[in-house]
This record gives sequence, structure tokens and C-alpha cells, in this order.
Amino acid sequence: MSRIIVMTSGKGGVGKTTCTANLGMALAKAGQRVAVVDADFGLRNLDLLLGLENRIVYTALDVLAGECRLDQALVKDKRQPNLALLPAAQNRSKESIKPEQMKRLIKALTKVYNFILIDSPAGIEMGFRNSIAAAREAIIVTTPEISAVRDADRVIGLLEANDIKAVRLVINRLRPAMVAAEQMMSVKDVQGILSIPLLGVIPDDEQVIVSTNKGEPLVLEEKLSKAGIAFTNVSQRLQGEKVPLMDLSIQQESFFTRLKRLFGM
Amino acid sequence: MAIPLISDLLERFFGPAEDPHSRDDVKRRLKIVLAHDRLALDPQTLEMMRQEIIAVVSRYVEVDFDALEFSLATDQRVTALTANLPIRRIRPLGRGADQPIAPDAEAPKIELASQSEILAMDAEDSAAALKQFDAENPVSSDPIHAPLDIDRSGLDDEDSDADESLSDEVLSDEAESDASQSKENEPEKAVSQSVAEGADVDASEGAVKAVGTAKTDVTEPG
Repeated sequence: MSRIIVMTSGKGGVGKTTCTANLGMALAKAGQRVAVVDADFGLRNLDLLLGLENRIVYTALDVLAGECRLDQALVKDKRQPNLALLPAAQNRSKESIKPEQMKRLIKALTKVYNFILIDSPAGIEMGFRNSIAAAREAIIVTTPEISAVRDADRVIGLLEANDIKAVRLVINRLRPAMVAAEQMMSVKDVQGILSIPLLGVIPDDEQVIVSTNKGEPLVLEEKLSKAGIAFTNVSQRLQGEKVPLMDLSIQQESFFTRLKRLFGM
Repeated sequence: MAIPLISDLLERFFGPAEDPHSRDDVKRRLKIVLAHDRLALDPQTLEMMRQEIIAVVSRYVEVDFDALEFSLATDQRVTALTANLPIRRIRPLGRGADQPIAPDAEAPKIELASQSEILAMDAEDSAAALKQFDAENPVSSDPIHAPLDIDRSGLDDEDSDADESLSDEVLSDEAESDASQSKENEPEKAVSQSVAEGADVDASEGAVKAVGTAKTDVTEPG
């Protein structure tokens, strides 16, 4: 049975699309057949992060309108043939598609793909409801910031109300040095407040911006960056492997060694 | 190389002192805001609930209004309403059946004053909610004040009855005054009789004066 997972956060700009692109690519690298679905109609971005923006011919709306077949709309990644993108329409609003239509699309995808990642738009309105309509699992993406955590909590409540029980947490953009200085909530703090199982922690990494500039997900790099390793770990945990949390306190240790060096110890 | 390290060191030692542990602030703020979010209860309802709980508790014990805390807290996605009501003393209830009403009537009077103080610290909307609540329920506050007068008098009577030694003294004073009054009243009666008989105006006036002085004498020892 295919895994249908919605990536959602409530708040915008916390890294939903980045997580979807990297997780989808990491799963595909691991040999899974993956479809990533952009549910952000009107403000699509998943194609950009995957570097597939120039290859879109048809969108999900064209499929629903009967103008093309589903396989014609799917953009297959040339770097990783296991990965396909179902693009959203950019020139239409979020109200242009209904939850029932979304369900039909996803159900058709389950025949071919065993992982379907749905990139939810920000907010809790129609676009969000569309994106969760067919999902059986959810990954909550949040950052250790008050507004992101609050919105995540709201979304968790909505998912529970919509009978999506398997909800797991990805904490994005953690800055270990700030946590060590007690100026940022720790992983434990955020997880304790939201009270859902932790799937992974992605450290704040400048390489994320570099990779989006190029349209190449971090997990495709030969020498993985910290964030790239973290995304790979998340994808492995998603497949049921037991991978320990990345040791993010290394940076903190390096600070202490720096301090020791300063005192000539 | 040395200069950036020194500045780094200085920042380490003096930097955090300016803004210590914003992590604790964000956790505290988040917990409160999430408790309210998760409960999805409007501030008016919450305020009404708060007032009613305090009213019920105040009927039995005297609550320290300056120290009371009313908060929503969440743990493991379950929201709990936590009321911390420090008790000053337990109200004396054993006097009589109608007794508890009197202290009960006193309490809401105090509560409404200090309640607004607590609310001033709270968010503005809940302060507005209280005003609205008070405005909507002016009737409920009036009956509280009405029985206050009635029951106070009842309370005083009972107090004097209960304290036997004191009441004895009072009674003896009253007995004395009654005796003196009756002594003074006798001539008045006699005079009034004489007035009736002889129609002597001057004599009756003198008699009335005498009674007046007798009365002032009586009131002094009491």
C-alpha cells in the first residue's frame, strides 16, 4: 500500500517545499518510486526547488479537465528516474480544485508510486483542506520560533480532527549555537510543546539557499552538507529505519575548544 | 587573529547579559497561547467561568484575592484549567441556617474590585470582557448588596446574644436607666394629671424639662 504523506506547517516560509523536494529526492535515491504533488495552486514553487520548472507542460488541473492523461502531466526527473512531480497550476486560485478531485488524482498515483508526498500551501483554508483530503500521514514542518510552533499546533489539531493520526514532526532551521546560548527553543522544547513524535531535525544551513538557487536538492550533492545529511536521515526514518538523531552539539563543542584554545589549554 | 578572539570572548561574557535566556520567555508565552488556542474557548466564557468559580469558593472560604492565579496549561495535548486560590481562612458557618449568606454577600463585593486589578495585568480583551460581563449583569450585583444590610443587623443581634457577660452588663444598664426613667416619669404623670386638672401651663413645662434632663442622664452611662 502506498504511503500518502502531506507536508504541512500552517505558517508559510518554514521550509515545507524544501523539505518536500529533499525528502522526495532522498526517498527516490533510496529506490522508492516517489511522486511529489504540488498542492499550492496559484503559488507553486516545488518545480523550482527541484529544477523542473522548464519541463512543465500540463498541470493537475489539465488532468482534471480531461485535457491530458495523468502520466502526461507528471514531470519525470532526469537525475533520478524514480521521482516524478505533479505540478500545480500557477495561473489559477486555490479554490479551482476540490478535495474530491484531489483524492481522485492521488488515488490514481497510488497505482504507480509507493510514496506520494503532497506539498501543502501555507494557511488552513481551502488549499490546506485539498492537500490533506487524500493524505493518510502528515509531516509537520516547523522552526523553533513562536509563530511557527503556534501555527504547527493549530494544524496538528486540524489533522487530528480530520482523522490523520500518523503525524510526525520535522524541526527545521535549528541553530545549535543559539540553543546553547539559551536564545532558541531546543528540539526537546518544541517537541515537548507539540507532543508529537519527532521525525528529524534539520540544522540551519546556508547550503539550502545555494541548492535552491541551482534547483538541485541538497541530497543530490556528492559530499552532503549538514542539512543534506539530516534530510537523508529523515527519509531513512520514514522508511522505518532506526537512525539516531544527528549530533548537532558538535558546533557547540567546537566553540568550547575554541575557548580552550583562547586560554591556552 | 587575537583581536577577533578577544571580541568573541567579550561577546561571550557580556553579550548574553543584555538579553538573558529569551528561550524561557518564548516557552512561557507559547504555553499560554497554546493553552488558549487548544481550548478554543472565547475570553468572555472563560471570564464568566472564572467569576463563578471564585464566587462558589468564596462562599466557603475567604480567598486571598491578591495571590490567586487562574491559568490554562497544556500537557501532552490535554488542556487543564488550573485555579490556584490561596485560602486566608475558613468562613464560620456553624451559626445558623441563614448565616452563610452574610459573608457570602461580602465576598463578591471585594472580588469585583480586585478582580479588575487582576484583569488589568491580563490581556485587554479579557478586561473588556469583564466590563461587558458587569454591564450585562447589573441585576446580579444588586441582590448581592441588598441582603447585606439585612443580614448585618441579624449578625449584630446574634453577636450580642451570644456574648453573655457583655449582654448582662448591657441589660443591667438598661435596667438602671429604665428604673431612673420610670422614677422621673412619675412626676410627669403627676404633673400631667395636674395639668389636666388645673390647666397650669408653667407647671407642665417644668415637668417636661425635668424629664428631659433625666433622659440625658440615662443615656450617659449607656
